Amino acid sequence: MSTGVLLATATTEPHPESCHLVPWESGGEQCSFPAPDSTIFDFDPAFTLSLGNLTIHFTKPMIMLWLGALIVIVVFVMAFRKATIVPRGLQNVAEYGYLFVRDGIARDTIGKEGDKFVPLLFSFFFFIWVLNFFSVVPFLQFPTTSRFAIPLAFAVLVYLLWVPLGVKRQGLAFFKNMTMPKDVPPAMYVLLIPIEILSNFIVRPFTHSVRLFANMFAGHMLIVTFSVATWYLLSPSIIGVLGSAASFTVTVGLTGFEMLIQALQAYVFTLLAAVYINDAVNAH
Amino acid sequence: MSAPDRQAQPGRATVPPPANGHHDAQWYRRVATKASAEKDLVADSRHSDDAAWASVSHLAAGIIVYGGIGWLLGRWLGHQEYFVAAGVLVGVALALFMLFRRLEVFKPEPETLRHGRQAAPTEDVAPMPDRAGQTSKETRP
Repeated sequence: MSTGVLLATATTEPHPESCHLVPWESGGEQCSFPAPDSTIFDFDPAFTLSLGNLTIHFTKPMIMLWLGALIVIVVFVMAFRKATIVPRGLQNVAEYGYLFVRDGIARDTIGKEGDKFVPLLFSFFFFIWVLNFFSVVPFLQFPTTSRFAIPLAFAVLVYLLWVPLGVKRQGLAFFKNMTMPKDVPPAMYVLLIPIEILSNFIVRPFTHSVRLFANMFAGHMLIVTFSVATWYLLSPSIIGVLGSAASFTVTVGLTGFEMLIQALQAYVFTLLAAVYINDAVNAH
Repeated sequence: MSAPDRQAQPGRATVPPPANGHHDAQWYRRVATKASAEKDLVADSRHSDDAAWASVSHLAAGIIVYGGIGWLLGRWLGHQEYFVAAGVLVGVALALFMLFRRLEVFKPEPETLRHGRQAAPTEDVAPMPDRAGQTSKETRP
């Protein structure tokens, strides 16, 4: 992994690229570890569009959002354009993905009404997975969902779906069902209802988005730290070569681990969306 | 087993076919009992899944509400640090109480489940022969 690409696209370039634990030239200055900070998540506009008074700056995460949507649309349109009864090739893979979301998430969580929500859940799962996966794609190397605004927008979308849906299906009893916990002595209602209100209607969209954001943020930070360390430790000495090789091995291992987390977090986000929709559809 | 199978033929897959090949009333009753037990199992697991996911936001909400109340009381009465600490503890305790209740830790086993387990008949299954070659039924006092 080239740290040059990562640092060059970030807003600030805080450290010189010739920064090593042991200086390469004799008499060169030793420098401290250029630890990556949150500035690696900030980007200068790649290009700017001016429409009269309106100026829109397009940054790398924004472009990646469009790219991710395009990839999901193109892949699935190609897969199902000439659909055959006996699926082959790409259609086979796409159908497997569809069945995974329909049976594993929608029907399992929402029940027999789950089929109505498969298009939404399916889009969420694959869009988020692609955005997460950009973290390990060479030259992109940035998980789009590690910008908090993006998972937050998704979570708000889910929130704006399930709250009106619950009112539509259950009427005002929806708020009673969501705030009065079952199986507790009524004397405790006065203590528990404030927690339930805050938990279900205010904290929920926040935890829903933070789960995705924090996982992708931390994963990217880890990969960048060990990539930078690989370059920083590299020097023409035994300790330099060994240290650099160890750090590189950890980077490769973390990259594999991250690929697991990317799929898992896309699944968790989609599953939670289904759980919230279930609260609205099925009173319990 | 995926969800549509469960809905199409509840209970059938887990009840062995009758030994003589004749699906009598007893066998259908067993399927129905098994089906109601399975349905409850699914509903139960879904319920506890939801509770597990809700635990984070419940804990956060408990801390915010009761820690906040403690903070306000402390502002009013002094000794703010004690009130905030007590409030946070109360909030965590209430959130955990609710979580345990939803996970049904304190509740006895649901009636249908126990019934389903009892109703799973063992008479079709051949008794295990013991070392002497006799069946365990015969050796029982």
